[in-house]
Amino acid sequence: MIDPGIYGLMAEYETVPDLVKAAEQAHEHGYRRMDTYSPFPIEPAAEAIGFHKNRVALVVLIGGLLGGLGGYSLEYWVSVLAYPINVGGKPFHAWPAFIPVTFECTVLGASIAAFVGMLAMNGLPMPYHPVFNSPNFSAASKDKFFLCIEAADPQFDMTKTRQFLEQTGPRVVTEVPN
Amino acid sequence: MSMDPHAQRTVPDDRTGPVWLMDRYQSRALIVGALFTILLIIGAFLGPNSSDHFFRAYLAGYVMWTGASLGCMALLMVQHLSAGKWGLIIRRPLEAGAAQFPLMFLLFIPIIFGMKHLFPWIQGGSLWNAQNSDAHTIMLHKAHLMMNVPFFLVRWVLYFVIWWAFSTTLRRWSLQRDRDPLGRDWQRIFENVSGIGVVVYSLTMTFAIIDWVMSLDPTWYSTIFGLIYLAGQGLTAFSICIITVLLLSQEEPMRTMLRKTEMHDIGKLLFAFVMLYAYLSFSQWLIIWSGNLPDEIQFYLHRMAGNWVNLSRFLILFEFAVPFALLLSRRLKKQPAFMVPLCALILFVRIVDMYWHIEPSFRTQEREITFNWMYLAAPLAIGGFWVFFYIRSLKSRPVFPAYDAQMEEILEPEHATA
Repeated sequence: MIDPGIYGLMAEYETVPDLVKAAEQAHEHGYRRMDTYSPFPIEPAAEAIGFHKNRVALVVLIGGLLGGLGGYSLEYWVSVLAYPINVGGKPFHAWPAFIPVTFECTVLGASIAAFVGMLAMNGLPMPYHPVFNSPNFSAASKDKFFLCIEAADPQFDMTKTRQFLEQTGPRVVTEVPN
Repeated sequence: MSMDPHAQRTVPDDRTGPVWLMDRYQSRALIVGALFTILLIIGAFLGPNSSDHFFRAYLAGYVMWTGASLGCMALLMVQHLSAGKWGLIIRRPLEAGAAQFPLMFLLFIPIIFGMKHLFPWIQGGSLWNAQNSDAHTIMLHKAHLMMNVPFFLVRWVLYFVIWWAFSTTLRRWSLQRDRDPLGRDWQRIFENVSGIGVVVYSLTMTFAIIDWVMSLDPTWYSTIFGLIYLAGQGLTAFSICIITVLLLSQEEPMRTMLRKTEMHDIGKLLFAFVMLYAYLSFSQWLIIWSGNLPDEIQFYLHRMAGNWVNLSRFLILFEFAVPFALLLSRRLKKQPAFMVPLCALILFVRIVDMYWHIEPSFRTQEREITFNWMYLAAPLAIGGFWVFFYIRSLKSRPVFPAYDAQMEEILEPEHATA
């Protein structure tokens, strides 16, 4: 029986290769509800726990396209439809002059999409998260690497999961209270 | 590249590149160079106006490959200034490219014989009489102080002395550093020389391009022209280095040294240069289009007349749109099988770009596109010899330096610095 007061088991590693190997083993073992924590991004660790792609890139692309389209449309509306002014005999629809603003709006749209999309998809801001109950977790911002297998995983078993984590060579395995 | 990504690697004992591989490409380059030189010499005497076309084509090829050396020298300085593990990987290819100034100095000699066919500011030259009176006035009263044959030749010698001095110094110290890594404060020495070097490079290169390309059109000028060539040279140099490094990485020792991380970084830098080149080219177009002044817009009118407009579209498509869209992909940037053909495409488009920059400047022709096969033969002939001597320089020293502040980091497993 799983104690509802337990969020999961947290293993602490000294080096990146230790963490990546442990994460790969856990994935092979069939664990899926787990996460790694480290002071800097480690792409192979993300791959190891089966996290291959996220949709932020797609959101940024759409945001950029919408921004560019919006900027160009705005200029078209202003210069051609709403306030057509003859500037040095140039056509109202003066596309070369529209490009810089279109470019800037593309960048703006893409960066807003990246910021909002990233926050929406990773669930931030999150004022409370159980992993911070884990002792020594502040080292995840300094020099230690963590793998947490969550109690919500169907394969999670207090004793077996602990045994599994112990044999991956961690410095210590601790329970994470909810 | 099937090594264990978790494994800590060590510098291979033998840092010499695969000789058989470099020999193979070196002889191929020589064959290309010799073949197209023969064709070019035959072409120079065949057909109407063939000597005009010969010299224009030769100038286009010459500017392209001198630009390759200049780009290599500039990037060599930049990577000394910025550091970064990508610089460690492509340093020796950059040094080999920057070593070709003596060759390019000598290859200027045919241009001296063709000056009267090329430069409209030479009194009594074949283009002098073809000019309208405005151009004559400008030539006689304003530009003559700068644009006269003796001073032009003095500048040519001066450019090459300066470029050769910087490149040969950086190359010599690079080997000395390998032998005696702790003997001097190498990092600072390289930074100081490179810092001065990039400024001197930007100025001298701008003047050289004004001499060799912008002066072909006596009344047209653009202040962004030097920067456009700066970006173009970066694009050329990066393409050459990427092809070199990826081909070398088929074998040891580069196979061990080149990680996906650095391939990704170099791909991103190529992407940045694709954007920079497009950005600067568009800036020139936008400013001239907005100003709409008769002297300035001719540059584009000549390049939009007849079928020239299709060549302009080709350049927009293949020098910007296609590489831009493809290089957005992170996966493709790490694929040698994709990057080598892409860089080859960019080099080809750079040749087309040189033709586009130089040929329409000759106002004597009717405004329809004039293609002569020499426009392809000349860049390939000069390019063949350039690549031959480039590989020769590359073979003369190990394919990556023995000592660098980044060496420890580059040997770490791939993910440690991801």
